[in-house]
Amino acid sequence: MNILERLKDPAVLGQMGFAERLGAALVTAVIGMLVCMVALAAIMYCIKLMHAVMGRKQPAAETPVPAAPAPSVPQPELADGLSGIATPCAGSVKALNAAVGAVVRAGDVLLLMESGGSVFQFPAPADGTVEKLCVAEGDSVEASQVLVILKDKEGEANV
Amino acid sequence: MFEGLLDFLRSTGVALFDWRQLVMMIIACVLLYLALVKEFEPLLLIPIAFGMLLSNLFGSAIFKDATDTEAAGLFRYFFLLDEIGILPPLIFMGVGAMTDFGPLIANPKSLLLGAGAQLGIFITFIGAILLGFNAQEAGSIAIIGGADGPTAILTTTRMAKHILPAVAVAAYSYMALVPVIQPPVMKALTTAEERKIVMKQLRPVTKREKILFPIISTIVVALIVPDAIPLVGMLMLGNLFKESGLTNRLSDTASNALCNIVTIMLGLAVGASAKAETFLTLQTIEIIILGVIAFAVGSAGGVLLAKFMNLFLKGDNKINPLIGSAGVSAVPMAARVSQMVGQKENPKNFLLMHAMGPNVAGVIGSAVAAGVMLSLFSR
Repeated sequence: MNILERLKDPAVLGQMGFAERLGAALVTAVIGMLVCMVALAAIMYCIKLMHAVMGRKQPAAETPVPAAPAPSVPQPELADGLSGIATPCAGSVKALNAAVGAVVRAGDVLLLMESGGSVFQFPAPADGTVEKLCVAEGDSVEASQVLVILKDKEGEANV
Repeated sequence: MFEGLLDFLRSTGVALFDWRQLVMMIIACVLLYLALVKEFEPLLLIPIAFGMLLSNLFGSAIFKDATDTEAAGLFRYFFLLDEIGILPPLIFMGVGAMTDFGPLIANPKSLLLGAGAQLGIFITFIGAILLGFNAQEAGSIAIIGGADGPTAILTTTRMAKHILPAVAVAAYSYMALVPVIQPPVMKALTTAEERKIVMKQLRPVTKREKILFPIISTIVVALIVPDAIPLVGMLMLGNLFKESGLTNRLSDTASNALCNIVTIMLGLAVGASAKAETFLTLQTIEIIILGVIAFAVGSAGGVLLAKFMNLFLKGDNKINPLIGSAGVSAVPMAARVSQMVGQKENPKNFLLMHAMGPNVAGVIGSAVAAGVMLSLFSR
């Protein structure tokens, strides 16, 4: 009987000593981690292969899904001293915590956005005043869209 | 006439008083409190806790076995659907129909993190064996670290039915406690610099890739771990329903109506199986302690593997190790924790989409780990 078969049988396991049990459990753990790694690495290589094959066949022929970053979102021109807070992913604006002209400190939460069922916060990156709110509560936004424009405290660029 | 009255009185709840059942009822009420007031995974804990309450009421016959002359209790039949392995894979189909594997396909390295986070499962297995659990029990307890309710329930039902309620309650409670358990582990293992790493934006994923992914990964997993097929196969089937765009009706049913129906039956059945004789034991306390270890070590495993991978990655390919802990699955809670901890260090950093990669990889990873346990120790 190999060590894993002995481990499998509760009656035999009961007679095994501490060191033997530790050894058998370690063997199980190593096998288990290896199998997990191999299985998931195999999927990883399949994805890479799939991407390589499909990328060669139709270069840029397919349209990206909406969840992907859309570089086509119009970006407002920002004057010196203004900085825009953009969203990395699509979603909807849940709450706006600041009004135009409000003085904010770095870290103040300006906006709450919901994406994929989770809510996350957009804090001010630096002290300043709110120059413009580009969205309203309830708006849907696309990836890389600018949500809020801040004016820096000293009027210096801060992007 | 007095005889009849006495018989009736003997069958009332009060006459059947048993302090252990009273304790079980109190535990059920505490779980209900956690679910209703603290909002701990209410969708699961409410059915589990109420099932536990109903089957432990004095004189309750809702979970009794069938006899020659009488049918079994209602929840016993729900439990039968779990015992013969129907309910957990159906939930997995619903999970698949709700899951977007896009972030994973865009960054396939996430899969390794999803595997690394299974470390918690196997370390806990060692701990459980040394504590004196047999291999079947230890394997079931360890799967709590997969942070995946249906996986833990399926594994435990197949290998160690008597500890099922303890395992399920521990798994779901800790899933609700992910935002408490993970951040200290994540912070302890990373430097502020690492937590600030900004990852480059994920590439767009084509519809064709999203459709091929479930098919390919099912075949790959089946080749390596056939015992994981019921879970992974159903997960990927649900995902194919969603991504194909041709079966919206099926994907809608799988992810909403069917998943909800199954959750109700499974929750009630698992809760009802919690009987004083098997639940009010030292083992249950040990299982609860081992469960938290499984979660913490799993999170650590993901973070450490991300740090290790960073040794080989250059420049903007570097991984923020905070997304590693999302590999324990617990979708999407663990990914939100990565986002939260990362944003605390660097308010401009958005890790959520990056963390979703390891997060969904963790679902596959824990199903594979469960497959390993089943193939090694299922009897």
